[in-house]
Amino acid sequence: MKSILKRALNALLIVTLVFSVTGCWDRVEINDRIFVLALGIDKFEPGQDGQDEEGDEGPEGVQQPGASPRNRIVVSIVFPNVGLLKGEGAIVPEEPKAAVSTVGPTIFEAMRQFNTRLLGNIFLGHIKAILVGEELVSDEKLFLEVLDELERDHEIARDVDLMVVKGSAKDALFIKPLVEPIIGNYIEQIVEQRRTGRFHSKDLGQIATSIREVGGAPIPRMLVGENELKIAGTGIVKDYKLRGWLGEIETRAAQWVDNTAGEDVISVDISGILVPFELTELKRRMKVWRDEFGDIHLDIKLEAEGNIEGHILEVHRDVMEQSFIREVEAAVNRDMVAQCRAVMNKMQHVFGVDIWDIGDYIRKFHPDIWDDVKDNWTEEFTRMKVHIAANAKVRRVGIIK
Amino acid sequence: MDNQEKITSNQLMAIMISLLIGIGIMSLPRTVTEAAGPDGWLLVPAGGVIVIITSVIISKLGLLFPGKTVVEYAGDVITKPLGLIFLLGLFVYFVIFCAFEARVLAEVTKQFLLDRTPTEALVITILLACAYLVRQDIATIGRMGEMLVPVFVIPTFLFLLPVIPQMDLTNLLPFMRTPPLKFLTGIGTTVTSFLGFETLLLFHPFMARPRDATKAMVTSLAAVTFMYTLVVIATMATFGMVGVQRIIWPAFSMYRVITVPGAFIENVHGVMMAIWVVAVYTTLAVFFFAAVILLSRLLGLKEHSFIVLPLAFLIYFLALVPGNISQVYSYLDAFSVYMGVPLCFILPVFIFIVARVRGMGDERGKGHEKYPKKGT
Amino acid sequence: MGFLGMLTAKKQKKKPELEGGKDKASSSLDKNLRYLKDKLEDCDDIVYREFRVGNRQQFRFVLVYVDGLIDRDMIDQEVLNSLMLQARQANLSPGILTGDVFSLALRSALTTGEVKEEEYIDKSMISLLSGDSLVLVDGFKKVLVIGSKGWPSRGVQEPQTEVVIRGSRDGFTETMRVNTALLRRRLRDPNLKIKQIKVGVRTRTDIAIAYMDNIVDKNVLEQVENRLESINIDAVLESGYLEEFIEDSWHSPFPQVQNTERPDRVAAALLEGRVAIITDNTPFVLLVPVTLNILFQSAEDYYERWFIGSFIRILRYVSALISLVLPAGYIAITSYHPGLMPSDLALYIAGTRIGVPFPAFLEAVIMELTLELLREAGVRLPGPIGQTIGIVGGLVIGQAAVQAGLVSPIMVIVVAITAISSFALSSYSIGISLRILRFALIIFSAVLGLYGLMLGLLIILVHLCSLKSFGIPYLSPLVGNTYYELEDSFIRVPLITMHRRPKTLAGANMIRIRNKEAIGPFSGGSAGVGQKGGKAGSGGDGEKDNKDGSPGASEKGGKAGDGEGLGTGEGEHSAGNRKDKACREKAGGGDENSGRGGNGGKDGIKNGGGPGGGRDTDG
Repeated sequence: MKSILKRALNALLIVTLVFSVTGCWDRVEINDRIFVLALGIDKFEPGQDGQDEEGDEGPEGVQQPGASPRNRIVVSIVFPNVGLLKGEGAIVPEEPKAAVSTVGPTIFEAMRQFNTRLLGNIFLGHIKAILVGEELVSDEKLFLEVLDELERDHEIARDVDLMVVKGSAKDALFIKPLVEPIIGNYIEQIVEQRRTGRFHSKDLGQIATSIREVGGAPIPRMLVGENELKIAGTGIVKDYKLRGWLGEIETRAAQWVDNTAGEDVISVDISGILVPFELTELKRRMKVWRDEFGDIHLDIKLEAEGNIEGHILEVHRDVMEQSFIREVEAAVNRDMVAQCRAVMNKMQHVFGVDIWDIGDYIRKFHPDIWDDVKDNWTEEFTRMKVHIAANAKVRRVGIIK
Repeated sequence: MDNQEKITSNQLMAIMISLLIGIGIMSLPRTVTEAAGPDGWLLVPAGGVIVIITSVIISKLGLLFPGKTVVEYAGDVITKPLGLIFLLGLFVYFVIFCAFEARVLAEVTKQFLLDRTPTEALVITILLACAYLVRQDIATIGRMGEMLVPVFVIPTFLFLLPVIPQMDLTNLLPFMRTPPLKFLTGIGTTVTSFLGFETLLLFHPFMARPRDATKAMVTSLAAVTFMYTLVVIATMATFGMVGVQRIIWPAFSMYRVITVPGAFIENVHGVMMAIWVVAVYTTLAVFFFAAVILLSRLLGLKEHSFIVLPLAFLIYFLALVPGNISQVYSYLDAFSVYMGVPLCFILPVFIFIVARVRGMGDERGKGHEKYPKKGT
Repeated sequence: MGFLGMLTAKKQKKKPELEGGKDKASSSLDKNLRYLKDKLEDCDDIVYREFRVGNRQQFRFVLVYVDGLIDRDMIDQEVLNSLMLQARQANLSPGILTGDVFSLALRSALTTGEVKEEEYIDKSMISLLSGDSLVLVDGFKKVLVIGSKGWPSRGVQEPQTEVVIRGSRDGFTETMRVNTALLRRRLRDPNLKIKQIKVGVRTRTDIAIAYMDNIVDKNVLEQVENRLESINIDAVLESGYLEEFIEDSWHSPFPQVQNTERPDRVAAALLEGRVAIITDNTPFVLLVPVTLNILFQSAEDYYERWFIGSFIRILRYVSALISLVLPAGYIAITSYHPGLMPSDLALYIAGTRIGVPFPAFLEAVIMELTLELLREAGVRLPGPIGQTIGIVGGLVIGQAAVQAGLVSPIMVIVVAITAISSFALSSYSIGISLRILRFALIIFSAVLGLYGLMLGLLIILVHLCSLKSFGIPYLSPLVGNTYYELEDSFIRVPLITMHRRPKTLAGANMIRIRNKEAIGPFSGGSAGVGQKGGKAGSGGDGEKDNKDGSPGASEKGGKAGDGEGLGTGEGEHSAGNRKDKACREKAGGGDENSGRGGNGGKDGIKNGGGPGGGRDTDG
């Protein structure tokens, strides 16, 4: 009996020791965390309005942020007011979300500056969207630093949506949207429903990989309104910095070529009447070949399916007629090819960016061609001969003739 | 020691599978892609074949000396001093490998789960938990294996399913355009992620029916090769060649690209992390057990349990030697190539050849009794 | 090993204080009486009745019994009446009477069943104390021991701890003999052996070891006997005393011996090759060896349809997991890894915790402790007050604590789900083990989050893997080469496919069902079904069962049984012993099935078809 007691005491001693030596270093109660839902990063520009926070204490004490080597970026975060979710009980502020911003040299140093005024532990694991300002993306060095920080952090998921804001990301985060008050959720839901091809859906992981591999990537663009946000169009990054924009329609065409387009509606002109054609399915086939002169040709073929959604009320023409359907199909083909060609031209001759990873395609499927062109691929890309064809099929016409 | 309960061939398989799946799998996609680019995934089956051949030789070696571990026969085959050096090397290798397992586990845990908890606390807790298992006998370890293999094999495959939409299998192209020489050297680094099968040198006499060892080894190694290949392919397809090379633990990050919407646990990478802790635990425990068995046989001890704790503390201090994560991996690479390959591949084969040439051992396996029933 | 060695060493010592056998009875009645009165001084519950027998009243007899322990009517009628009145009226020749009046009384006068002669007076005294009556005859060196046990005892009632919806309603009682009778009623097989020993120097408790001779694993049986015999304790008041002595590892939180109040469960266990230990004075029968899997089974699993049985099994395993890890997992995820949860849930939980003064860990411990207190309070209190406790607990703790903001509502839900899950387990003893381990896991995950939780679970698993019950790995059939037994683990496959007994438990006679497939309209053609089923289903015993079972179904079984049942049985076996056994088994199976037939025609036909049929639990 004595030995049993002794053994029990020993075990108890070991357990107590283990648990007293190991503390609860990482324990943070869930209500003591600040769940950041959206993160905005801008380049700091001295004299800009609204930059009212300064983490760095100068000799004269806290002051308006000025041009200092430490002031490089503006970091803004949005977090929800979780107390409201509980409803009654605790005394909580009325606002559904809070947005704050600060100036700092790097994202994570700025995060620590938030700890000088926010209560709780900033937690990035639930970020829904990361917004980067136009100016930041235009600054090659800063942009790459920021991307690396974001990708390296283990809390931020790789599938977070990344967007470039026309204007400043801070403004986007500080608005009070009408539809969904919490901005992170707002953006996430728009991207998730994705009822149109007017914006790319690219997440942090994809963009970082693409920029690392080819130095460029299309990044979804966000436009800021009075009390709403709009995600449409694309920012084109080439050689690690923002070179320009694609509009909504161009983005849609670019996604047709990319084979990532969602459903959409194209309105085609049939003898003066605009006929909306709902695109329900779209497939793209791609083929690369080299002719006897050594020129590289790219064949793109779009196979589309869809429905006619409108014509004109008066008895003008029978929509059920085959000849009319053929006409619509031809018009759709024409429009799609024209739009694709336009965006292809822009990519080849204005930006010179292979946003479709055609180079990657050649590397994988035509390694022999790739061996010849990989050293000056950008140039080869601009010289590539592109042939685009479309083949649209009308399947349904609605419920009246 | 000899009155230890025997293990069945299924238990040997389970031990091997749980032993091989450890720290290696998390960084394997990166190492193979660095070695052979898009053809990297081919290195895995190629390495697997080499490992399977070696393991067959080791199990044949065990059959030559029924009821004996390498500790007893190594001295007879390759002279006492050489045998002693080999055994001591093997012991040091086991201990250092344990230290690496514990350290990498701590590093990954710190990175993904507990960033403020000191490495020391993580290392000591896993080592104490392992020590508890190592103090038991091999049958307990075999049963642990049987219980745990489904625990980490099933989720690994199951959680690959939601990743499939993110995968782009064309990332594996172009096919077979790596220079053969580069490919061959790649195999050399790949086989190190199969290290652990050599513990059969020690476990052979614990088999209820030692003749089944060969089949069990081939099956389990083939299964592990398959799993490795699948994970490597999935990771490469998800991140692309360049992406994989940049990520330290690509297999983990792969599970980070997905969320399972609507589930109670949304981010499966946390679940994978927990499961991976289990996988490393078993790896560590089996290596630890091998070290303990080797040492206790070498010293002629009857009981092995009391050298467990001192060894645990030795492993603890060794685990804390590398200063940072980059040192951990550079030491680990050097260690596996310069210590692992000779001790696990070259020397056992050498011993086997010498034994056959000198006509030693019990060729037809007459010494193996049949244990008809209840080898649980 | 050391323990076993100790056991065998102890076995050598004979324990005379238990059995008696030291003092011989004397031929003088007065001497014997003095011996008894001396030993039983101040035992006022002993009654001595002196009377004379013979037509001339020439023989002195003394009847001794313990008041209250015997059946008074029986003694009056069969002993006193027989000896004092009827024996006198008998017209016996004087030659006989002058002879051995002792054996005359034994053979011709006492009209009761259980009488034996005993030459040791101390041995007969022990019989006296366990409820037998002694008849001392002057001039003879032996004592007549009359089995007259009859004390007020609880009747056979429905078991309190293992209630079933469908299944037999009789439960064991405190009287061992009744319990063995309940078993024998279910297993009319000469291979059912019931060995009796006494344990406890002072209580001299009767212990019966029951097993099926040709199924049991002899190693296990031997170990059971050795361990029981080497117990040297003064008192065995409940089978729990024995349990602690015979289990393999006393420092484990897991039960390594199963206890049950249900005879059908014991019968099923015996048919699987396990050993039952029936202790006098308690309705709880011990079953060994036990595996974790067995503790998750319930008798009813086999009585309901197999889908339902399987579903409930899975549910039970899930509830065990929940009851073990839910609070710990909740703490790990909320306090350490909120990133694993869906954002909405994380935000919601964070919202509900605003203003809660305690960390989640303390919150969980407080709530769990409260719950344990409530449970304990509820168990000890009589029924109506017990409900009050429920209301107080539910309202005060649940409602008020949340409203006061002391505890977050989610935590209340977590604790409640945990409690419900732990009640959903089929075995109370495994539930307690999990409750204790739950606290350990809470501490682990409060210190190291998910990592700690995994380590805690691993340590529990290591322990389970190292645990054995009478040489059987505790985790069988999940481990070892017996994977086919998984048919009766997480799921319960149809009886018709459970052809073999579990290999881990049974030692011989592995086959228990010989049908290859169900016998129904599709395999036989509807007209012949009843007949065929009956034929295969039962041997001669079927008829006997008519009185308890449904007449129709069992009659069919009975009539047809002789031909076909024997035919298949004999065809398959060559060894005589096995042949016997197979037929017996079939007969047993047939009985039960035909008894069940009353539930519905189709059911009756189908079940009647299974020779040996119904799973063991049925039998």
